[in-house]
Amino acid sequence: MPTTLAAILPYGYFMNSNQSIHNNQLNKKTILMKKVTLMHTVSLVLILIIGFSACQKDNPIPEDNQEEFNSAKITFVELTAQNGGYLEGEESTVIAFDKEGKPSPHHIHLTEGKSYRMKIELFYNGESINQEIIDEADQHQFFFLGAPDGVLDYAYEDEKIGLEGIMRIIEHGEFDLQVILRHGLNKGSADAQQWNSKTYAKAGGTDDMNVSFEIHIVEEGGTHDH
Amino acid sequence: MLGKYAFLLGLIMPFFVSAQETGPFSIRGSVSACSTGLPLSGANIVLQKEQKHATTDDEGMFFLPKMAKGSYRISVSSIGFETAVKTVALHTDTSVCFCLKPQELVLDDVAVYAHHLSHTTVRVDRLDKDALKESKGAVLGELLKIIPGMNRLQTGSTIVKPVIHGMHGNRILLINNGVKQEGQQWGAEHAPEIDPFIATSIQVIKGADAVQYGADAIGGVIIVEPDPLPLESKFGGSFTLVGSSNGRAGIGSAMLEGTVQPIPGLSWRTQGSFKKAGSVRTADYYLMNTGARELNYSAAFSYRHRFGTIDAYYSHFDTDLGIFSGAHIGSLEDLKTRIQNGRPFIEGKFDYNIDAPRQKVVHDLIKIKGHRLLNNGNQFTFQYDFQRNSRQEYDIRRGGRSDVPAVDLQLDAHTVRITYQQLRQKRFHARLGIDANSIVNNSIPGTFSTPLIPNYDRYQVGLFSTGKFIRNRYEIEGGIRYDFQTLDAAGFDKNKEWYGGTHTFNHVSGSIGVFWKAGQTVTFRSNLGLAWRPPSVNELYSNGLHHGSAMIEIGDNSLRTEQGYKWINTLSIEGKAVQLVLDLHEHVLKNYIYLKPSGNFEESLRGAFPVFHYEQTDALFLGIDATISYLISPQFNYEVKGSFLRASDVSRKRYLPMIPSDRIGNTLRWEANSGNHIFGKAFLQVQHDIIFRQTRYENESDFAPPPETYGVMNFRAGTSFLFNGKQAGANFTIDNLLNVSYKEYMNRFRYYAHDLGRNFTLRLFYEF
Repeated sequence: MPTTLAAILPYGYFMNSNQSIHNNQLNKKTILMKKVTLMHTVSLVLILIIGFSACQKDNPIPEDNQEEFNSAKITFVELTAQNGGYLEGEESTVIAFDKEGKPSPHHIHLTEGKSYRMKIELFYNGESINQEIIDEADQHQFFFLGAPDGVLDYAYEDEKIGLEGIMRIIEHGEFDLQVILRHGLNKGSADAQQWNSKTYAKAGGTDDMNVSFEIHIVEEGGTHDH
Repeated sequence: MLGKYAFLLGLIMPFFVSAQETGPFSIRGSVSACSTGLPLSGANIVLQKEQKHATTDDEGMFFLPKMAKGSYRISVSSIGFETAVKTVALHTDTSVCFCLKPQELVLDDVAVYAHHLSHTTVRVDRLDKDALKESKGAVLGELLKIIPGMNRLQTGSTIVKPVIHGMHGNRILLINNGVKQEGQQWGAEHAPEIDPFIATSIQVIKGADAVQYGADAIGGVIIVEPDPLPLESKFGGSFTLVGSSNGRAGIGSAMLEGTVQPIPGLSWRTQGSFKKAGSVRTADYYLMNTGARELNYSAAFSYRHRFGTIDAYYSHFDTDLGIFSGAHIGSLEDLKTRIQNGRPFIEGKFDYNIDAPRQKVVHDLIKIKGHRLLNNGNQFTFQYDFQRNSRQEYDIRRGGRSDVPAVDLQLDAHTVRITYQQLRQKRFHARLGIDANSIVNNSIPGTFSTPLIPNYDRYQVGLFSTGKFIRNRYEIEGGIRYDFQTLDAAGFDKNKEWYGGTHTFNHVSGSIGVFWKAGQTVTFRSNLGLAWRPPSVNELYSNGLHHGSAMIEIGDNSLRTEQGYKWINTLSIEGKAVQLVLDLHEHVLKNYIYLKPSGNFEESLRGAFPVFHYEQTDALFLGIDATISYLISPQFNYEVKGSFLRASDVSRKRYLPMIPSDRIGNTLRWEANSGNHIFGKAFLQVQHDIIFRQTRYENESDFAPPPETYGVMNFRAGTSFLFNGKQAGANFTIDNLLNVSYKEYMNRFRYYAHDLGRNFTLRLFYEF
């Protein structure tokens, strides 16, 4: 095998192995050079070993997914008309949603002919994040779909966000109400002008929330057996 | 146990082959191009009378050992250069330098051609300097699309990943200036962090070349190389300016190089490029937020001495990419609505601004390489490289968090590679090497978002040996490699529960191939490669929502290594008028990892998302790449090329998702070839590509059926000439000449938008 150790060592060992050296002084110099370059080689190897062994991952740190919210609540506060406006009564109906969007209770009862202030609250680990939505009012809007025509009416009370609004119950019936919060939409779009716009997606943006629950509308003084 | 010894014996055996003793002297030499002073690798050195041969190495150096006293006539040749001949009277060890003059006659087709490098049994497709000039300003994945069998995996218009025979990401390797690129290539929406302006040659090896390059080269290798640094005393450089209408992009690049007079042997090069582009346009509408910024630079030094060569290289890549905002999906319902619409609901307008969603990627690379041509004619190479990849992805978020990266990853990679190469002994070339690599990938805390992948460190050591036996009519080459790899991962999921673990992988790779010169114009290559790759971290551990595709991806930490046997056969006929290259390839993959729809949905406040699991199966890829060119006259050339790929899950007898569809391209090119005046090297080219609809897919594996067949026509014209004795030139292209509105199956944003419309590009370059 023609290879020698000197031949395969890097830089410092790039001496010509066939060189015949007769001069003692030169020989000493060569030995010294070899020692120096050997040190360089060993140093390099050590640096690499240290460098490699120092390469270890950091201990992970759990992140708070602050951008996500993991529960929501919709409160329907019964209103009474007064002086051209509304006065909140003491009666309210609440429906909550867990992180999987599952409603509790399964359905709610609202009364025909009455008006309700619908308040939506979004929570991250129990803390309301509504202010974040309000701060970016130009990018957020709720839409409410699923009610048969003429059964209810809705009016935004905030800057067309839908965290607060008046829901007026016109007719009785049962239906699934789909509550959709869009983020990043063009609120000036024709498709974003109605609270129940079925073409809301054409206004752009993405879903931040998309949940459904049943509403049973009962007649004033009427009975409902479940 | 016996097997292990046999394996080790196989690795080192080639190095015990001894040389034939004929004389005590040697001839050492270098070969360079007279015009540029750059060393020429792969040049043939022939001593006709003595029937001795040699080839220059990467540094343009050659060595003829064991020579007897006497007079020798040495002939040196290289493609594109005139042959040089010198007579040497040998009575002691002698050095000789050759400089080759470029041939006046330009090759018939310089766009893409097969080129013998060290891989003679696998055809190497190469984009040379001239071909690259015609496409300057394009991203890497875009440049390679003209090679048959190459496709692109796109995430919109700004993110393009190269695909070789249906393989991409961790299944192909990118070698950037001799360094195996280490970034976040596991992500389909993560483009290679390489500035194509550094390259004067890009080569594609479609075979499974794991022996040379290690695990992951299961589908092929892409090699991006700059010219070697100048040898002769000179100062030079080049400037390139590119302007494109679509996106109103401006791109500039400059390169300077020279030698340092007081220090003989020391040469240098510095290079930089910038890019600014705004929203791109389909045939009918703008794609919002698709601008890009890029600032890249590099510096290289080389010191040549009698003991060898030392090279140092540093490069910096920095890009800020806008992601088409119409692709940001909040729920499956969003996705369905947009697919139904087939185009964005909001048609944007032109804008240079880049908002969330966007990506900011910075990649730094340092390389130090020592090369020694030993006295016995063999070569020793040592290389260390370090890479740091920082990736920040910004999403549309509430509460001002759009300015906080939702993904913030930093990867550090160290690699050491040592090779010992034995040349020309009884026409037997052998190489023995070892490489070691460490990768640490951390998520930078503070993203307010659960990282997609855990923190991990990965260590790998590989030992390899290759040998090549050369005869006049045929060559046989083979190689074997052993790799050992450990992976340690740890992270917290969205419920703040710890996950992770340690994995070890080890594997033997191998390749064997033959090159046969069947006649003056006919050659045949056949290569069988066994390669493997360990499952990537996202395949093992991902568990979360992928916003771009509105699906939950769940990894499996019990996944095993993927193993592939790729057999590639190439027939080349190079007649005077007709040239044919036919590639037939078969790729058998055991434990092929892919995303399989589970049929389940995960409920959330945003709605329901489909759940996909990473699973393994056995897969078979079969394909044909063909190129036929016909020289109609000395000026006109017609070329037709096509690639056809069939991929199936053989265990379940189903089609695999995201496999490129069949495509055929026709090109008619006219070249003047009439001297150095302004139109002396002018060319005109019309190209038409037909991309067929992918009909082989499973309904449930995708959200929408593949798009229809489409055709795109491109036009290209240009010239180069001598201006005050320096090379100057211009070229002009129109991509999608007819402004066709189309969607490409391999574009992940095809659900939401069409591909690019017509684009005019003007390129100006000057070399001095």
